[in-house]
Amino acid sequence: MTQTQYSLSSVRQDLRPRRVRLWGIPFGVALALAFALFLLVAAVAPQIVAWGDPFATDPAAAFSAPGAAHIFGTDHAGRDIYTRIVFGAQQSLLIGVAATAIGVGGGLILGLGSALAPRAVDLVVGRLIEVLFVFPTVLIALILISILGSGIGPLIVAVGLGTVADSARLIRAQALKVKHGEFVAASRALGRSSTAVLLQTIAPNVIRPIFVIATLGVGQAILWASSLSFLGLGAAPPSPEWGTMLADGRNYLQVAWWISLFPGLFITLSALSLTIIGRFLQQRTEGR
Amino acid sequence: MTTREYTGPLAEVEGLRVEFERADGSRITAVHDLGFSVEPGKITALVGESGSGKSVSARSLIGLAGQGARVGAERLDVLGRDARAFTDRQWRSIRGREVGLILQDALTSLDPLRPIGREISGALTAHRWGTRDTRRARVLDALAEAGLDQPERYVRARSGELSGGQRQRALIAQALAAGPQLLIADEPTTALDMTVQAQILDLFERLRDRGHGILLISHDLGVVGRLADTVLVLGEGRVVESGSAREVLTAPRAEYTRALLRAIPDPSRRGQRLSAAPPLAIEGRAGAPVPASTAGDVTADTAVSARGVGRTYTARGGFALADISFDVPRGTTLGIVGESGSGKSTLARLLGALDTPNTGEITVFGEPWSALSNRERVPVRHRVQVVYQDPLSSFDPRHRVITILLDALRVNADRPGGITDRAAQRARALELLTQVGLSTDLADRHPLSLSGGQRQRVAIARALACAPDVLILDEPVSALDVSVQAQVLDLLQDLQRALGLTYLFISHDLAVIHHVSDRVLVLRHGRAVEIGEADQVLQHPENAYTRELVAAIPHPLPTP
Repeated sequence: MTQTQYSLSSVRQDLRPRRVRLWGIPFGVALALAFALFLLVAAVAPQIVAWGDPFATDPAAAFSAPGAAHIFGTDHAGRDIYTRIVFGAQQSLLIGVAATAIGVGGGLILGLGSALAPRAVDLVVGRLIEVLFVFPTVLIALILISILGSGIGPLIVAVGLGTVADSARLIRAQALKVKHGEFVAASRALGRSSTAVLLQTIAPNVIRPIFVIATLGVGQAILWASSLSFLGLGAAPPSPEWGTMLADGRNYLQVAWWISLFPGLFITLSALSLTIIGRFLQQRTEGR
Repeated sequence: MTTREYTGPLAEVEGLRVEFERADGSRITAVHDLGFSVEPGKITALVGESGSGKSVSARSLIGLAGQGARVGAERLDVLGRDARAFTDRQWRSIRGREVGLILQDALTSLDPLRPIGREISGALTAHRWGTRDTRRARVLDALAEAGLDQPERYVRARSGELSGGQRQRALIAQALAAGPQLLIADEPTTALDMTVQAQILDLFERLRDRGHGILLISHDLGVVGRLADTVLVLGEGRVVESGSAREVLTAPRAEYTRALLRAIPDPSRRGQRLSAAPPLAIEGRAGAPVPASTAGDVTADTAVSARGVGRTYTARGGFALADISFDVPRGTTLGIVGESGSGKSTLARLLGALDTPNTGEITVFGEPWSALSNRERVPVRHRVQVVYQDPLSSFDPRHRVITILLDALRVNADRPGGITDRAAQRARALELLTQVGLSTDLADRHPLSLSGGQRQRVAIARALACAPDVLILDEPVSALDVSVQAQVLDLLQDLQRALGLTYLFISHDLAVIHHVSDRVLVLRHGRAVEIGEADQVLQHPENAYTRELVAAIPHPLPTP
């Protein structure tokens, strides 16, 4: 009966699934980082990754299927879709970043104001945030575009203001959490004045996680901007903006699926990879 | 369910070894060659400090040693069956039904949204036990077995509606539901008030008398001394000493056990050092008065004085604190003791001027304190500093150890005696670290990577950075192991002697309060029920409630 030999593997008590990691970064996040890096290169110096001219037409090669000459195929005017996607990255990222800046900036003013100001202000601003929150982002953006007209500038403003309510709520929640943290009480007990506590202790701790919110926001904003462009409310047709390209191809879906598929894929992948990166940063900072 | 079929040892373990795989793939051995047994109607205790491997060992008995654990043993018998070859299915079949696990934190272990009755019957449905009606009856029985009168009242309640003691009983009922004979109790009274703890310990005695075998895991030698038949003292995953509870606790052979016992505050050794560490050499402040036991001396100048202090929260309607008055002479310690809800945290906030009383006034060295506006208080605020129970949450999450101290020094740079020069600030910060017994190597670490005791020392150093006269110590050792608690208490004593500090020491632990205090204030439901000399109050209490509190202190040494 008695065994004297250790059988270490005889009792399995580990219920955790295995995860693949590269240098301590989960595999999915590494892929997302690689894609984001590609986007960044495309936005800053598109010539490095695509050598053609995004506007050069070639009627003879119209509707070429993806192949050796055109890896993503060509559209109805014979323009190379891969080249156009690469050159469109700049616009998409610009719209995403600028709209997020407006959204987070507005959210910062409303959210911080509401959380840190006297209760009466919070009551008013808090209700305002809630009212804004009732309207879907797209609806607010559509209303703004109908006032401002179409084009890239109005698109940025519309998407930016459309997301203000979202970020204002997140920032308000973060600010409230920090405000009631014990380290804020400790900072007061050290002898700081109320203003010093606000500027030196509360503000830096509220602002830090906003970078994470912003990363998540850029992916979202790209999605919104593409949707509006698809509806013809953003960049005008010859522009290689992804949403516009998606709309271009929708009449030819039966014969040339690639015209819409690849821009659509890039919109999805950009939003996805930025969201994955954002989530990863979020876990890193919150899990500490 | 009072008659038990199984009469042999409920668990027999020999040569238990638990290894953990670390993130980088290397292995660390958490438990080495551990052997113990649990008999029906007996209590076996695993004692040790955090990280000694006691929880992991106990959980190996139900196949839940944890993530990345590899468990091996020469013998691992659970109710006479060799558990080494158990499949997942077999493990599931014994969990709850043959071995019940009672967890430590009732607040997080119960689902806040599920009624208690459903939580408990979940343990039965998992084993397809009985029918809906018999399960209902069993749930009521289990609640009654766990000592909850009128169990029908609790079936529909959610954990948030129950008191700490009721929640712990509900957890015990959950563990008892499917009728396991072997119970594993992992720190079952850690988060509870003294009087509630005493009741739960009574309950464990009753369960033992009914034939349950209990494996008790605790860091509290008082609890162990009261309950256990057999004790195993663990240190760094090895058995340091084992034997009958009486043997181990009254005539310990291992130095480790002796140090653990010495670390427990005991009235007979009041004011003596609890840890083996030598007193720190701390330079006294010029002119610091030497504290004597002048508690009753009316001529000694008063550091903190409260007169009729009360605080109501209008939202809740009731009062948190009413009519509290006391004087604390300079250089002495006032112990403030009470259970949860007694108003001691509110009092700490008022003393630290983080909140303002509705009635009465607090003065510091005869000058107004609570009556000042925030702006008026800024220049004198540094004189009263607060040390919190959870130091980590009181540090700005962005700060490293050195920045925590520099931050405090910079805030106070412009005051008289403040340091404005950057290099001098840094030197002072390092000096403070040494003063609280920390190595200056820790300066660039983040508090997250420090142990609980180190964090509390950093918190104390930060308070000292402000050159205070008074420290409000709000449960400063409650989250610490007993030996670390001993070191921190010794440190506080050294600092008080050297710097002439006045302490207001808030705790729920009477033994600690008795050890540190000159005078003691007992709070209950926001009112002062007794105040007086520490020995007088804690050895000859006049008030019935204080007597109840004192009686609830578990003593490590079995009373003859």
